[in-house]
Amino acid sequence: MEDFETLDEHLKTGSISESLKKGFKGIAPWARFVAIANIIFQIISFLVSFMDPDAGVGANFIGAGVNIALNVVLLQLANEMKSFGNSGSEKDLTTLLKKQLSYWIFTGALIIIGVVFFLLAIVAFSMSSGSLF
Amino acid sequence: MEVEENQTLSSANRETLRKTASWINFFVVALYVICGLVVLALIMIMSESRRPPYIGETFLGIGFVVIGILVFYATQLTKYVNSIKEAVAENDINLITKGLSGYKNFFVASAILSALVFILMLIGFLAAFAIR
Repeated sequence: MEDFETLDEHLKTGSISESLKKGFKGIAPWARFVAIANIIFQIISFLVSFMDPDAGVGANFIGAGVNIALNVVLLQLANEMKSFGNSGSEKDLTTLLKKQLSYWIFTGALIIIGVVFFLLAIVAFSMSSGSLF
Repeated sequence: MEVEENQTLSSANRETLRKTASWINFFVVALYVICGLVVLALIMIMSESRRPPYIGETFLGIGFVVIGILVFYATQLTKYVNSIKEAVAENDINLITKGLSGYKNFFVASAILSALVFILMLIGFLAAFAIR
């Protein structure tokens, strides 16, 4: 009996552990919930912008589109987490890691764009009030 | 040979993980910068002498909640990033497991926040229709 346990332990080394599979599988439903909730939220926000003519439909359309795209990537990531959790295969792990990288690059790019817009807004506001330069 | 047996990371996956850690680190830094901006905004609001008294208290409360959420996100993601770095350094994918709880907490907190925003939005809609 002891020999079998030792053999099982030996087989675990060099392979993907159960806890890693379970860990990603446990994250998947939460990531999916976040993605779906944000997609619905963006669609509703965009529809509401039609009711208010001063809200800026064009800007809302771009903003909602980008956010929906980001959350679609998150949804795909959640699906990959679930697939890897079920199979535990190297192929699924590679796909999961690539999708995870895509999600974080997308998020990082959005942050950079946000910072640029924020700085532009500060410059524009300061120039209009005459306090800059 | 002992180290060879534990190698569960292909070179492509190692590179992907290394880049992911850099981007998540960038996100964490951005979170701390936003925290700093919130603190700055709070100081500016509190030092404004012409503001009505209730405005300062309201903004102070909201500001502390926002800072709390941002710091929570940043610490949990840092935990995950550290485990990724360790996995890359040791060439063992299973070491990521150490930081997965932080990654899960990040998504759980995001889910709770999304649900709260959703509920608030619905209340807002109902209130707007009731007023009309």
